[in-house]
Amino acid sequence: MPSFAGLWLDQRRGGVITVAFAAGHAAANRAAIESAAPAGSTVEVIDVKYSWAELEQTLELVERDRLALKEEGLWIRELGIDPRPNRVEVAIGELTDDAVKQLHTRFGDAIVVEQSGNPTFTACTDRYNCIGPPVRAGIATSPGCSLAFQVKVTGAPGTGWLTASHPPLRQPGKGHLPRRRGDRNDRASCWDPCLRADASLGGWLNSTYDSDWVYVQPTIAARVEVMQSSTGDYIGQTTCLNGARQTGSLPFRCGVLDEIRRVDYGDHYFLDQRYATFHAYVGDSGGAVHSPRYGTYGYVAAYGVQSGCENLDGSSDGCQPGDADGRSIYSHVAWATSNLSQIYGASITVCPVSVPCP
Amino acid sequence: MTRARWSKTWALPLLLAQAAACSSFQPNPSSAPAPSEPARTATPVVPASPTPLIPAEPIESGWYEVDRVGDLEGNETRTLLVGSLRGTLTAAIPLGAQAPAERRDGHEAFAWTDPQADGIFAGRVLVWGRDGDPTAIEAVEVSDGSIQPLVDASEGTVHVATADASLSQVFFVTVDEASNSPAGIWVARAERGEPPLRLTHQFGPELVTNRFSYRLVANADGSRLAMQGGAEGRVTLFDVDGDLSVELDPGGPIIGFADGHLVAYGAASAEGLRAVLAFDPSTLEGRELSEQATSAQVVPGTDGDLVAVMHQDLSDQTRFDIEAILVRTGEGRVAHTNEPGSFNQGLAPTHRTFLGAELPPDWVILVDSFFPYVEAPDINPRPVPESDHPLLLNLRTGDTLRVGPFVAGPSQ
Repeated sequence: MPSFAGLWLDQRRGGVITVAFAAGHAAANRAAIESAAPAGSTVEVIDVKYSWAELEQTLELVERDRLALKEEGLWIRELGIDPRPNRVEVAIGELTDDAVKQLHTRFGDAIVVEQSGNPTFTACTDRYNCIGPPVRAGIATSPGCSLAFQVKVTGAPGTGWLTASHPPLRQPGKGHLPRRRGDRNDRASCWDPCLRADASLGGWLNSTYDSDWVYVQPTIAARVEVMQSSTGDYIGQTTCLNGARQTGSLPFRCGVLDEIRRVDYGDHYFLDQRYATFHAYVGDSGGAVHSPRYGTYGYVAAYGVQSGCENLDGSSDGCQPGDADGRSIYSHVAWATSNLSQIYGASITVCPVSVPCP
Repeated sequence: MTRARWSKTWALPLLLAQAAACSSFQPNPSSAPAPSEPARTATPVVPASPTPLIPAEPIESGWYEVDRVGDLEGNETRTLLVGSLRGTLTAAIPLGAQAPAERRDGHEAFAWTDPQADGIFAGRVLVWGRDGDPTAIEAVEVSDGSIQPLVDASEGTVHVATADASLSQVFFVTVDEASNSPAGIWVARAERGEPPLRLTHQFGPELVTNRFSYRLVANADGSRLAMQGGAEGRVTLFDVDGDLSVELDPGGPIIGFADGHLVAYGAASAEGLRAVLAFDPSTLEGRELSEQATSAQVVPGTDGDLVAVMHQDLSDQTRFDIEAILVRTGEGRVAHTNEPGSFNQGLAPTHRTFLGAELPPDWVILVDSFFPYVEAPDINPRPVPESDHPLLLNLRTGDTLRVGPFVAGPSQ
């Protein structure tokens, strides 16, 4: 079908299946598309300017010239087709008016030029590329960490999310520094003396839950029913990580709680950290640690916020799949929310991760 | 915050068959080794030093903590910290260190029996496995950090140990390193000059790891001993002099003995909250002392033993009450409410937080870890406001006193 121009789920509108056609062919295809859609779904068939084939041709042209452009000082760091604006997305390292003009002159109007670091895939092609509500745990945030639980903070800007407090990917596997109140990006809940939780508030969600910092994956959501007491866990308890670097179709990695003790992060320490036997990798920091699912609807109990891993081979890139690395380390969620209470002087509620906070 | 109430008769969770009609201790029929089997360990016990008096003022008390530390490369160390609540760190005694490669061979190093220390017993902390010596049990004087040999379990690796209040009896579990199986449970009586005696018990098939496979608590005079398999498994309750035992399953970790009762947690809720139960050793009947507890400790009292129970607001762990319960009657009251907005230390769950202080009757200390308040040259200082310092609490009067920091002496 030469006029086909893309297919995606519009998460902002509640999961509308959207199919696009070029050359004014939407009307001709609407009936066939709607009849093929799953029962109960909402389908929208729309007209756009460029067909998918035309966008692919443009993509190939950009790809062909990519190295040459980099030598000219124009570094294209991300490249892909975004069906929603019906354009080839070209993300460059330094977005300037001159750079935008140069690229459009070279490739025409079938491209859209953006600042690198803000991927804009639409459909949930994987856990890194899935924007829109509901927000859930274990999805990468744009700095490279993972997202833990939503928290509702009374008297604060609204609904936020917990993540790790150390700077993501600054020193992989080492030097997990606590972020202090007032630091950039509002990663600020680890306040003095910050003894017990390498966790912080990652940011606030806006009214449509589509913050640039949040990526979601709705198909394997699990609701948080309870938050565990900091003394409520025990050695040998099954505990699971919902981090961004989950592979395959499994919703999360499970192991057992192995030890509770102080952890020395090099130039800083946290008391009462948990060691668990599930694997965690660089990029999983900040992910949600919780119980296995239970009940008909797959509820979980919130246990913690992923912090680090035992990088046993000393590799410079920290713990990676395939490395002979050791246990994972996480902070207890109760200490993380207690930190927030201290900052905002308000009660904290850990919310279901699959639906907005009430 | 839900408040606990007391004197509720607890349905007996589990009894072994021989304990079903248990008005007294009965021997476990499957647990007896051959009657003629001698005690395996022959090394005499070094007599304990005279029992020092517990100070009348809590501020004069000694404290200890096993500082268990890991890093991001898989290294781990354990250090025994001892000092005075007056504000000193008397000694920091390395218990051992281990690199990751040794830990990945499938068999844990048995010198790494966790937690490697228990106390405080008459001014001394019991230490085992120090410096990789798997058979040595030693006593560390809290007042000066000196170390005395106490027991040599020459034919077995010591997995876990405890003692009575005066340190005249030491109880320990040994492990056969070749098979990873528990080898025996022993009592060493210093004053009698006898070799350690093996108590009658048949261990299950579970192998021992260095992570809390078994835990021990003894009552003050050493006549009762409780051994728990696993973090919250079955408990074997020993009548030490009679060498008799029964089993029960409280549902959660054992806490200690109070007023002749074994105090233990019940099973955890989804949030991890637990009831606190008191079991009569003669009948194995249990009473619920409190519910929805986050931690509890046994506290010797001036008019009967007490149990201190912490109830926390789950959304803010710094908001909590301490309830004091007289075990004899089950009567309880709130002895302390944490000041809102402050980040006070709480009541440590001593089944997994290895610290304590030897305090006068009715006093308890609210501290999760002494380490942040230690001032020593090789310890990174952390800014901890005084409102965060450990808090001494009198459960009867409600009097409180903050302690710390703990400054290392010239030799530290």
